[in-house]
Amino acid sequence: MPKAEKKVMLIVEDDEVLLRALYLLFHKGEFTIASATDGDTALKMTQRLKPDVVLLDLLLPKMNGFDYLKILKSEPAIKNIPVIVLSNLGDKESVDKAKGLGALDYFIKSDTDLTTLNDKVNKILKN
Amino acid sequence: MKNKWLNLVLLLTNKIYNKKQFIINQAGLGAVYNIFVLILLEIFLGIISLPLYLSLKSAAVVAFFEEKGAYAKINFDYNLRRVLTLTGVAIVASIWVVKLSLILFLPSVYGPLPLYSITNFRPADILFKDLVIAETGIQTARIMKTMPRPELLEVKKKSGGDFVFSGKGQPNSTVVLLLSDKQTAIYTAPVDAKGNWQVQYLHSKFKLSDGNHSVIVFGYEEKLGVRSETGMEQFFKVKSSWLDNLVKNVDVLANWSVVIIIIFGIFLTVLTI
Repeated sequence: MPKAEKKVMLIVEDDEVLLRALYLLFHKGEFTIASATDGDTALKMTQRLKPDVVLLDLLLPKMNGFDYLKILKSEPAIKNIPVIVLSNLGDKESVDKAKGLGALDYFIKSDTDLTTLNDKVNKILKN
Repeated sequence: MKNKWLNLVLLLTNKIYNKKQFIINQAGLGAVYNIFVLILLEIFLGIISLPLYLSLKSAAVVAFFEEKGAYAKINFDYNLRRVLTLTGVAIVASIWVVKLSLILFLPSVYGPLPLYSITNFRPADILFKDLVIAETGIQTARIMKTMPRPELLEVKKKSGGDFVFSGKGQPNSTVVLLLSDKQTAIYTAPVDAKGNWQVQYLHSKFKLSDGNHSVIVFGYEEKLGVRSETGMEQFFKVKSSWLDNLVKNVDVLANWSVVIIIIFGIFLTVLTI
């Protein structure tokens, strides 16, 4: 499957209001934004799209973010895709678990400044 | 500015999530309070996220569709009921807040508050220039202090909003009864040989406004052109029947039906938490 010329960002978020907000934040025309609202669809889209970065929520219907990360990192074709977690879960156990499964960075929603998140994503995409 | 707004959306979604988690493990009045707070948060989020729905086209985001094997624009699978309910509630709440603010800070817009308290009360007055029925003879009669005052012993409410006033008086004289309203209403009744008198107020013939009214009586001798002093003032309350209220308040009821539908919508939303 041919990949799009523009770089692709996959946003996995089941809260539709937040999904729209994130789209508005990242949409600048420089890259294509794709989205998924459940873990199962996110995995299928990742396998087909091979996005340049994934912004992942952990609490998702059908398949949670941890299982998504496990499968992602077990498949050679997609295991190097950088995944940034943006989650409501702020406990150390969840943070360590996600990072242990290969998440590049972990942002807790209650403490996150979206400007920092935006800078992080742009840095990944430019590299 | 845009980032601050989006940060607020992020923060609110997080607070809503945390509140939902908190409510799941709660019971009793605390849970009710937190559900109330949750609804307020949702309303607030509904208001501030409205531009996201207005400015961002639903089909602005692309996704990869396996069945199509290509990119395609997608529509968000958003919860229409939530958006409609919360937007509706927000609009109604905003209208109420504006009205309340006007009443509190700019009362002249609405005029005096129609609270129907005692300040609106008009006492019955025989000298009131706008008597419902002009009775010049009664109005100009000389007060005779030696003339016994009739007594109003009973104010009996009957079905359909009617009242029966009865009492004792000087046999074979006339009793005059005054009812307070926007105008004073006047009734006369003969006192029988046993000294009993009775006046019937028929709601169908003359409608007193809802609220408190006073009633006073005095004796009257038409031939002599004299009247007694008035007896003790008594009070009674008039309340419209449900049918009258229904006809009178049909627009208010229509408004309330909208509110009830919205409350029902909130209830359904709460059930989906």
